[in-house]
Parts: sequence; C-alpha cells; structure tokens
Amino acid sequence: MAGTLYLFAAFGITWLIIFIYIFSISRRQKTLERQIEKISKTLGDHS
Amino acid sequence: MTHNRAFLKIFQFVTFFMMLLALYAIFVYAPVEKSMGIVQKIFYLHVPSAFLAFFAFFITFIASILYLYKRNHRWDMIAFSSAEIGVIFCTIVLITGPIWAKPIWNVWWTWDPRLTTTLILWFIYVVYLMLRRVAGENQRSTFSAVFGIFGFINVPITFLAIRLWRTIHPLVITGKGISISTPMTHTLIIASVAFFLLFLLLLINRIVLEKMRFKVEEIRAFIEDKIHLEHEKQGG
Amino acid sequence: MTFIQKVWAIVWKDITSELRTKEILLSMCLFSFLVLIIFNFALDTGLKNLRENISGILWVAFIFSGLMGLGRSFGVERDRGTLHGLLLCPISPWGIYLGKMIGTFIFMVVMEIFTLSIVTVLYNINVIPFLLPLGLIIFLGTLGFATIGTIFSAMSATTKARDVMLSILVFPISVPMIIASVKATGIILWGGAIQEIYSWLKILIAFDLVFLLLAYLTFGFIIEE
Repeated sequence: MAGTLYLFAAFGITWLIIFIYIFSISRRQKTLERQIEKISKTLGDHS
Repeated sequence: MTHNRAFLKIFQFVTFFMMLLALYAIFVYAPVEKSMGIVQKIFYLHVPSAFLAFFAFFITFIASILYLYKRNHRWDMIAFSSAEIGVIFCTIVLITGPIWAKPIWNVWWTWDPRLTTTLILWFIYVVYLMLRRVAGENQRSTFSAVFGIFGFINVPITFLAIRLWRTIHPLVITGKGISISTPMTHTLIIASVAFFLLFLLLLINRIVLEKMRFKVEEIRAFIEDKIHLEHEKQGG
Repeated sequence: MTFIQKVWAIVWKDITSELRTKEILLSMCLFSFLVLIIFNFALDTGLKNLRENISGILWVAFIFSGLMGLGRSFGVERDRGTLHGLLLCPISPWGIYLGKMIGTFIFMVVMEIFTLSIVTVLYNINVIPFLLPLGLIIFLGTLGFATIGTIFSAMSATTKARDVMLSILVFPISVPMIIASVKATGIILWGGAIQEIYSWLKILIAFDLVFLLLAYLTFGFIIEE
C-alpha cells in the first residue's frame, strides 16, 4: 500500500511541475501580447 | 502565421493523446514488477525524463557552439529555451529518483556516480540560467554560450571521476539491474515518445515566447530612440 | 617581442603590482590559515581520523583561498579601469588569458606552499617524504583550477554580484578536478604507492588539457566587448 503512495507522489509531483511550467509560459506569453497590443495602440494614436 | 497556429494545434492534440495512451500503458497495460511491486512504475516517468534532460542539454551545447560560430541570436534563443526545459526535466528526474529509491533502497539518496553526476548537471544548468539573469545585456548570449559549452564538456569527466572514486569505496547497494519484460519495454517506448512530444511542444512554445520577448524589446528600443531624437530636435 | 615574452610581460606586470601592495597574497595566505584553524575545531581532528580528513581540508583551503585570488585577477583590472588598456595591448586574447592564468597560478602556488608548511606544523604531518608526487598533484590540480577560474573571472568581472557569481560558476565545473586532487592527495599522504594514483592523474591531466583547449577556443569571445 505504501508503494501506491510513493507512486502517486511521483506522478503528482511530475505533473504539477509540468503544469506549473506550462502555466508560467502561457502567462508570460499573455503579458507580452498585452504589451504588443499596448504599443501598437500608442503608435496608432500618435500617427 | 495561421498555418503555424493550425500546425501547433494539431501537434498539441497529438501530444495530449500520446500522454493519455502513455498513462493507460503505464497503469493498465504494463504488468506489476514482481520484486519491486507497483513502485517500479515510477521508472516510466524517470527514464524518459532523464533521457530528455540530457537531450535538452545537448541541444543547448550544440546551439551554444553555433551561436559563437554564426553570431545569430536565434541560436541563443534555442540554447536558452532548451536549457530551461532541461532544468525542468532534470528536476523531475531528481525528484522521482529519490521517491523510487526510498521504498526500494530504503534511503532517499546515495552518492552513486549516476546520481551525483545528475545532481551536478542540474547545478550547472541552474547556474547557466542564473548567469543569464546577472550578465549585462550585450554579453549575456556570449557568456551563457561559453558556459553552456564548458558545462556540457564537464559532465563526462565528472562521471568518470565519481565512478573511479566509487570503485575504490564500493557501494553498499548493488544489483539494481531491472529485468524488463516485453510489455514493459513497450510501455517505456510509448512513455518516451509521449514525453518527447511534450518536450518538443514545450520547446517550440518557449522559443516562440523568447522570439516575442525579443521583438518587444526591439520595438521598445526603437521607440526610445525616436523619443530621444525628438527631444534632441526640440532642444537644439 | 615574441609571444612568450608578451605573455611574460603580463605575468610580470601582475607580480610587480602585487609585490607593491601584497594585498592578494597576504589575504589568500591568511584566509587559508583561518580555514585550517576552523577545520581543526569543526571536525575535531584527533589523530585517528586526521589522515582521512587532511587531504580534504587541504584542498578546501586551497580552493577557497584560490577563489579570492581569482576574484581579484580581473576584478582589480576593472576596478582600476585598466581592463581596456590590457585589451588594447598588441597581443592575442589567448596571450592575455595565459598571462592572467599563469599569474593566478603563481599566486596560488605561493599560498599552497605556505599552507603546506602550516599543515606540517599544526597538524603534525610530515610532507617532506611525499614532496614529489604531492607536488605533481598540486601542480595539476592548481593548473586546472586556474584554467577554468581565469575564464570565469573574466566573465564575472562584468556581471552584477561579481564575487558570488564567480564561486557558483567555478564550483560545479571544478568538481572532477577537486575529487581527483583530494583522492590522489589522500592516497599519497596515507603512504600509498605512486601507481595507485595513476588513474587520478589521468583525470587531472585530461581535465587540464580539455579546459585549456576550451579556454583557447572561447576566451576571445568573452573579452571582445
């Protein structure tokens, strides 16, 4: 029974790490997209 | 661009499917190993991750050489992205390893050559990522490329040194060879393919992110230049 | 001037400026002395486990003090603003590298001779009979440490958090060199035969050659700014 616990700990932690990483990539991507939008908006206002 | 997006979507779907298949193979298809019990299934996470961590660092190594040779920042982006993902997979290796070792070897960690080398490998690339944070804007790529090359070349020498050290002081735990049956091999192959696809997907996304960041920085520098020029015109 | 004369000019420049201030050598020697004292209390090195620990203590002293010298190697040039002057010298980057590396190496060797004599007195270990093999190991180990250290000293001289960066860059790379040096020194000090350290010497030599070659290939990139 203890074996199952270890098994689930290993799988849980692995997936947690991968999901956190994917989440951080997508969050950074969104921030950049917002910045690009902001810049293009400002440029549009000026010209 | 839309073409690329569609391709990425399909790729994402295939990866997701392979992941589910791998989970099925690991938990249903693969038999429970006799001597180690169910804990042995950690092996299907551990081995592909280890393989991909080494592969990622190898990409960093090659991209670093190409960057120094060609001076194209694209190689630097690839080297950086790959190193970051390599650290993620190496972390998974270093976490799943002890979780497997505790019930099997009854210790979390031994200073075995392979374990120690992996730990040092992890350290090298964490330092690589740190170096990129503290180095100045115009030296970052060069410095990290040089460190990427040094770090990778260092790994086999480290392994040799630690192995030699251990042959003089023999290990307490021996005979950790795992007898693998055919369904187990199949499962390992499926899990490896799934992880490899996941790795590629992460790498592509990470490089896209890096490219975007580069573009934003370029635009920002351009605008700042413009503003600076305007000010000078008004001043003079 | 030939290449060797140019390299020697850089080495000699470092030595004369060091002889004037003596700040690097003095602090290195004092620091390694302190490491020896601290280890004496931290490990409670009675006669029994002394022989097992002494090679480790010795190399920790060497490497920590060496790191101080390395931090100054390019750091001092940058602080005084002489780095650009050095780069403008009519000599290849490899020449600058060799000059700096040999300078660091010489300072480290002086510190190591001092440390060994302190160890002989304080830990009551006679190193005289092992002088030749011990000298060879220390030569190779120090050469390897100076080789990678000089590269990373040049790198970290321009980054933020210079000294912290230098140590975390150097340590993971110097692991095989430290292992090989400590083990070989231990074998020699336990009175082992010279044949027993051959495999360690091979690793040390491989380490030195590989990293000297890598330094030759990459140093130009690092200082081209």
